[in-house]
Amino acid sequence: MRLLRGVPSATMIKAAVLVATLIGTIILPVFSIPKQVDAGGGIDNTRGDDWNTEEVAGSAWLDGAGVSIYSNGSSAAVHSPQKDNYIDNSNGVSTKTGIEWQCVELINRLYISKGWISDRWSGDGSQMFDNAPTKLSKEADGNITYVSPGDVIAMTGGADNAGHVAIVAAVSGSSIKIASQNTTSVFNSAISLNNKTLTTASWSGYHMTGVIHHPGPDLPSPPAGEGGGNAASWAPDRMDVFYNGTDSHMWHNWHDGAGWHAYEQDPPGGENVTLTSQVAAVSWGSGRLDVFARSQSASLLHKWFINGAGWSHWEDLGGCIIGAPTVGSWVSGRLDIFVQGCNDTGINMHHRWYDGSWHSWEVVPNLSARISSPPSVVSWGTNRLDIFARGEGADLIHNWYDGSWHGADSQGGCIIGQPAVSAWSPGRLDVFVEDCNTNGPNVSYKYYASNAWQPWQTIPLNDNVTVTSMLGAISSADNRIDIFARGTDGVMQHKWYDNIWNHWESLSGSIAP
Amino acid sequence: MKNESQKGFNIIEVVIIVAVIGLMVVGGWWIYQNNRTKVSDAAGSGTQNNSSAGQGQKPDVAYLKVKEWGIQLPLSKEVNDAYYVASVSSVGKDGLPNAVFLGLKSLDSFGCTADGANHGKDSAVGAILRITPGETDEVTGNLLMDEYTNGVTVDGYYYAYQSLIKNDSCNAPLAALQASDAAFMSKGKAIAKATD
Repeated sequence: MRLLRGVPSATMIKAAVLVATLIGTIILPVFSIPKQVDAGGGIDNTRGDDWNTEEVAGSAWLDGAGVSIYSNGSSAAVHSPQKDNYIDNSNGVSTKTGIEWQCVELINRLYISKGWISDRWSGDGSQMFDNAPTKLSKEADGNITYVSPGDVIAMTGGADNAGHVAIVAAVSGSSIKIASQNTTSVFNSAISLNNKTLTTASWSGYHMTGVIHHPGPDLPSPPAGEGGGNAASWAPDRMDVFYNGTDSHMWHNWHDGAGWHAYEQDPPGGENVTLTSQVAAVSWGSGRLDVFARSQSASLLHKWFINGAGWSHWEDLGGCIIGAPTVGSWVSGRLDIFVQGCNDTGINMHHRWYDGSWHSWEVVPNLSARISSPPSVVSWGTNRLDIFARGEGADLIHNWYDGSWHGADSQGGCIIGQPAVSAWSPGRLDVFVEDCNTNGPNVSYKYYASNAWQPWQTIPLNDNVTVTSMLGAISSADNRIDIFARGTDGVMQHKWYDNIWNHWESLSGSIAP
Repeated sequence: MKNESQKGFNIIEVVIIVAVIGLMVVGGWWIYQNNRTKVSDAAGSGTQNNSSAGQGQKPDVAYLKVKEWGIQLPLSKEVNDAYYVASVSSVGKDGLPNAVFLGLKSLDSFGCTADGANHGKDSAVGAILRITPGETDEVTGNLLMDEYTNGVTVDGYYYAYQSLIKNDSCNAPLAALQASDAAFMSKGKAIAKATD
C-alpha cells in the first residue's frame, strides 16, 4: 500500500512544492501586474476611444454653436504620426488650428471658425493666457468679474507642466461647465467662480490662470421664444421690460422672485441718450440683455447688459430706420435685427446680424411686398426666424427664415402698428396686434400650432382695455406668454397667459406715444 | 515491492527548488535593501547631517512647515529661504488648499513670487500638491500618485512636489531655478508630519 491513511506520499509532497513554487514564481506575478481597465470610451472616458473619434458634435454644445470635440486616444501625448489641423479663417485663409487633437487645437478651431481670431493662438495650455491675442480681453484669476459660454479658462501645471485650456460651455450661477479636448471627460462641472476666483476641488495639479473672454457678447443658452419687442427673459422667473419715455430716454424695469422693481432710467447712471423709437430687447442667455432703439439721426442704437459686468454704453450701428427695430436671437452669440428701412420704394425690411461680429445691412431677400409698420421677429430655435409686420393693406404679413428666406404670406386681419410675437416652443407662434377696432378693447391675436394657423380672436378677459400700441410679447416657459402694451393713459399694461389668460395689470410708466 | 524512485526529490527537482528559493532570497534582499535606503533617507533628511550629505547634497538646515496641512518639508541650503502661499483656487472639500505654491525670497526680485500664482502668473518656483489617494489627473486619466512619484502619504493624503519652473513670469537665472527645483524635488519623499 503506497499511502498511509492521512499521511501524504512523497510524490504528493513533491508535487505540492513544485506547484507552490510555480504559483510563486509565475502565476502570482501575473496577478500583481496592474490591471488593464477596459476603458469603454465615451464622453466621460475619451481615453477609451480611438484617436480621432468624434466625442461631441458641434451642434451638441454651446447651443448648437460649438465645434466637434475629438478624442486624442489613450494618451494625452501628441499622437504619432503628428497631424496638424487647418481650417479657413473668416478671410478664407487656411489657418492652422493646432495638433490633432490637443486641447489648444479646440480653442483655436472654435475661435477661428467663429471669426473671433484670424491667426493661430499659439502656445501650450500653460501659455495661452499670456499669449492671448490682443483683441481678446482677459482677466487673471482673483480678478475675474464674469465668465460666459465661449470664454476660455486657462491653467498652468499638470504632470508635464503644459497646463490646460478649456471652453466655458455653460454657466449656472457660480457653477461653470467646461468643455475640453484631450481630457478624460469632455465636460466637467467642477469649477466655480467665487470672489472673482476660479475655484475647484478637482483638477489637482492644475492651477487656474484666468479667463480669456471671447469678443463681444457672451454665449449662454437663449430661452425659447425670445421675441423682438420691448421685453426679454433669461429665465422662467425673470422678465426685463423697457420703454422709451415721454422724456425720450430709455426706462427699464424687471421682474424676479421679488416681483417688479422700480423703473431705472437709461442705466448705467442715467446715460440719457435721446431715443426716437420704442426699445427692442432680447436675452440670449442667463444674465445677458441686448437692447436696440432708433437714434435722433434715425440710426440704430445698441447697448447690452452682462450680469456682473453691468451695462455698456450705447453704440451706434448706423442705418436709416423708421420706428422701432426688432431683435431676435436663435442661439447664444447671435442677434438678428430687422427694421423698417427709410427707402421710399422697393422692399423696405432691412436686416443685419451679429454672430461674433456685425454684418452689413441687407434687404430681406425674397420679400415681394413692402411693410407699413416696423417688423417684429421671434426665434423658436436654431436657424429659425419668424418675422411679422403690417402690410400695405393693413394685413399681417409673415416671412420666415429656416436656412433660407421664404416669400411673405398674409395672415389677414386689420392691424395698426407694430405687432408683437412670442414662441414658447418650436412650432408655436403667438402674434398680438392692435386691431382696427376703434371702439373698445382692441388687442387681437392668432397663433400657429400643429402646423396650422388659427383664426384671429379678441384677447380673452380684456377688461375693456384699449391699447395705443403693442410693445412686446415674450414666452419665458412653455404655456407662458407675457404681453406688454401702451395704454391710453401712456402707462405700461401687462397681461399674461399661464394656461389661462389673466387680467391686465398696470406697470405704470410714462411711455412716449 | 516499493518503487524507490518515488522516495524524496530527484536531483533536478532539488536544483529547481534551490534555484527558486535562491531567487526569492535574492529578490527579497534587494527589496529589503531598497526599502532600507528609502527609510534611511527619509529619516536622515530631518537631521543636520543626513545620510545623503555624503553623496554630494548639502545638509538640511530648516523645514518649511505648511501649517494648513500639518506637514513639513526639509530644506537644504539651496532653498533655505523657501516660503509658501496657499492656492486660493485649488481647495479641497474640507476647505483646505489642495496646493501651496513655493517661492524663494532670494528670487522674488526676479518676479518669481509664489503669490503671483494666485493672480494669473506662472511665477511660482514649484508647488506641493495634496492628493487624495485614488485621485486621477483630469487630463491624462492617470493616478496622480503615479504621476508625482516623489511624494509620501501623511495622515491619509499624498503630498508631492510639483515642478513649475517653466514660469514665463519669472526671470531668475535658469541655473538658480534648476538648482532650487532639484533641491525641492529631492526632498519630496522627506515630507513628514510637522513637529511642533
